[in-house]
Amino acid sequence: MTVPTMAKLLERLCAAGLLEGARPVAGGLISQAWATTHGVLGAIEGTTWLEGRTYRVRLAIPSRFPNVLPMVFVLQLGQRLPHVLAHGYVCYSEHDGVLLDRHDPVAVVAEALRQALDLVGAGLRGENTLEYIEELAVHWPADALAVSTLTLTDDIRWVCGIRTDPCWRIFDDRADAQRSCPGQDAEQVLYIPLPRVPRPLDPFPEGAWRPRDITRFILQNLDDDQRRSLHVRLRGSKRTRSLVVVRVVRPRGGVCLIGVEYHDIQGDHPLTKRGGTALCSQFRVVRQDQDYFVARGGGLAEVRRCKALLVGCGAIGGHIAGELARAGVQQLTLVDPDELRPENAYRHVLGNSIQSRMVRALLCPPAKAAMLMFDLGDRYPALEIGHHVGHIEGLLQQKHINLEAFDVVVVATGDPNVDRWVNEVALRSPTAPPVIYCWLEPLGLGGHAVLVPGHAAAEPRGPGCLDCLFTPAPEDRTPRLCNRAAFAEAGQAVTRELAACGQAFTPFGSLDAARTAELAARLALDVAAHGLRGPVLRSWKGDPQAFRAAGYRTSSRFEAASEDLERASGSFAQHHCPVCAAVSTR
Amino acid sequence: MANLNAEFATFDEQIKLDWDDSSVLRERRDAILDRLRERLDGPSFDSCNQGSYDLRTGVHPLQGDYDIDVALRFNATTAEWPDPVSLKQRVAAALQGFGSEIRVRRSCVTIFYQRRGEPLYHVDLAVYTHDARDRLCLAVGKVGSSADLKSWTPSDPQALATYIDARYEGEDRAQLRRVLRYLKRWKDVRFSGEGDAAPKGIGLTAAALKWFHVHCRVDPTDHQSRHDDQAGLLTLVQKMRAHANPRLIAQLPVVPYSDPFTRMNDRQMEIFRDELERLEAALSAAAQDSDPRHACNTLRRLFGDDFPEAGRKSARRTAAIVSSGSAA
Repeated sequence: MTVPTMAKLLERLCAAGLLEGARPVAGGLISQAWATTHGVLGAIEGTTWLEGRTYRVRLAIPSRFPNVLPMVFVLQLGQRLPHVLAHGYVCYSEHDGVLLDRHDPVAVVAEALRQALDLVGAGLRGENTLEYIEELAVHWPADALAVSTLTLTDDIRWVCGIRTDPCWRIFDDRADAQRSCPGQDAEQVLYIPLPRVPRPLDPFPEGAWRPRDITRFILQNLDDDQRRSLHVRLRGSKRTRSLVVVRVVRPRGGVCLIGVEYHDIQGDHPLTKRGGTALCSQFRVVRQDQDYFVARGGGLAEVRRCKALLVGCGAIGGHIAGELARAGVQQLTLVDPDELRPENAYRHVLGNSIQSRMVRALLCPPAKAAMLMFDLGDRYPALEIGHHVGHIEGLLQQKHINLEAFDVVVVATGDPNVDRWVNEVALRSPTAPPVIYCWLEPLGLGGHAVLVPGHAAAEPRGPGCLDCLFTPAPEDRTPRLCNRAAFAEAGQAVTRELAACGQAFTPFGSLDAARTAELAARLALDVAAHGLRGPVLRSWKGDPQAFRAAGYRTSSRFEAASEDLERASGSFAQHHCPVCAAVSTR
Repeated sequence: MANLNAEFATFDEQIKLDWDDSSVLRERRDAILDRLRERLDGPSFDSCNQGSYDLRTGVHPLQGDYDIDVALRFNATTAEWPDPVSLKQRVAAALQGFGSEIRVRRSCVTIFYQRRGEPLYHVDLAVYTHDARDRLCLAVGKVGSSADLKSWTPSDPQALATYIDARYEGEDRAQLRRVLRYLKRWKDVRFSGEGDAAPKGIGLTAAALKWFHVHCRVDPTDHQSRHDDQAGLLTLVQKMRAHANPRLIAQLPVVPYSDPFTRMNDRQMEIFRDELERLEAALSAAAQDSDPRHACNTLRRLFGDDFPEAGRKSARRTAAIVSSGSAA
């Protein structure tokens, strides 16, 4: 916003009657901290009547307005109120997720003022004291910082901290600490989870908290068992220093962490029954634990304990592995017999980057499963990831892998013969997890993912498995070997050879692989998080232009409307399937 | 649940009498027509196939006595030939020397061919003229029949084919023809010793045109429509049996709109009804049978040895190694 435009806007705001005696704020004030901190370009100031008295209010316009919210400052409040920060800045709305009427900036400022005054009014009436807790982590007065990868359990326990420059790092245990900060001295840190939304202190402290306020806040919000547990852990301690991380449950959901360092402890620890005295310094704790990251990334808390097996780490499998990791699965095991070939760099998630840098020296030839494991392990340290280089048939037969050990299996080999073998093995096993099979079709024609439900021992198995797709319809007068889900008409050879015999490949691109991977990953997560059973067949249809231009023909299924495909997604079971029908009639 | 559509398809391949494959019969027919045009002492005519050849519902005979029905449409009127038998006799006379025997029968003139005393095949020539309303009329009666057994009966040799073409299309029509072939073979197997007491093919055709419904299902996965012959045949037989109470009445939907079953006496109808019940029971049992081998054996007792044994379905599969067209 230019200065002349700002001047005109301020004039309009003054004339709009939003504040009594409104006038533009002098240029000198705009260069002060209250304005520069928030990027204020111009402001008006006036008065308003609130809860029985008059307050001075500034309406400030940032340089990026109206792409961002205007600011409201309520001056000389004389008390600490929730959501009112330094200089009287009222945090009346989140900056993200709002839509502003950019063609009516005066109305935007008026609405901002209304919301800010509602918030301040509620604070003056004492109606929103829990908001102190909601914003506790943000406004925890502290100079120091800690980064936590703690698993936020419900029990009081000793965890591990390492002082690094410039901050503390908090880990679940010494092993975690040594993995991340090898060779550095670790010390015990006390983790205290408050069991429920804590009751704020009254009055709520302004500025740095006194040691006794901190201790009172913690102890008054523990239940009896926790207080006893704390006493048992701390009584008789001769320490003069103690680091404490407190989990705070937020009123609107979620949790945050705050940190306290007690030092110069005289007598018993202040958090015991006969608590001694100590000095305190507060420190902020930034969460970097997996639960937080997963939730922040749109992941699913429900898959936190999920153990997944991915068979096939090619173009589709590479994407699936990443998506499962980002969704927050706890454990991922990768299986693939192949090396990452340079010619597939443009459709594989790993490209050539790792091969050309660090792994080539260590792994020759570079196995896809291993390289993908290293890549994901680096990106997502909390992910427990393992790998097997080999064919799934041998790994299962030699019991290097046991399907029953997993919560969900995704098979992305692209080889229907291997997929059907796995399908039969899983169905004939006494117990088996849900298995998702996925593959794509050439030249962007489409992709598919099939979920075959798992079963427990002695649990009846209904019809519907991968082999049903290869089982001719009962009315078929001329049964033929083909996949009934295919978008390409059966019987066409669609592989190409760019080099020599044995170098054949099916033409498809990274986008096709990613789209198919999304189908499969969503099915896997629906299974893990929401208990989706199945059987389910999901497909995506692409543009057939390139496929047809290459002289190939599409199937009847491709011609069907996508809605019809979705409607029939659970109807592919064949009651005479040689695999699942035989098993279900046992 | 045994689904035997692949077996029915194999069965159809075995029994189907394909006109294009019957070159000997075709040659005989053409030779007969050439001789007629050359030597017939009578009006000119044109010809066409009729009966199962025209309807494409013919089946290989069990004993090798193939036949072909040919319509001779004379450019003459019933008024010019008041005695229908006389025109048939002219036809028979013109063909003297053909085949091993020529017989003027009730509805046609038949030329029999034999080899070493065994019937090989025969050609039925149906004689038609036009009545005063220009309708085609079939010459009915034998030599020596009394006047009341001789007549010009309104009939159209191609009306049934036209009717079927108008009512059924494409694969639906093909299913009707297949089901009729199944029934005809059943008739040949189950009534082999009955001679004239056996139901006629035209009767089964009339029944099918009255009660047959196309059985077709679109697979929700591959979206291809497939015709279920097993279910189609069972449903038709169920309806025929249900309507045989006590007699089966199935009027032709075209001229002469008659019921071909009227010529069966009550005893013959009773036998026919019993056989229908057996066929219905066998088809139902086969459909419910979880063992395809057993189901096939059940049907082989009624359809004969051309109905395949279970396990031969795999012979109908295309190659066991095909392009998958899939990748990951």
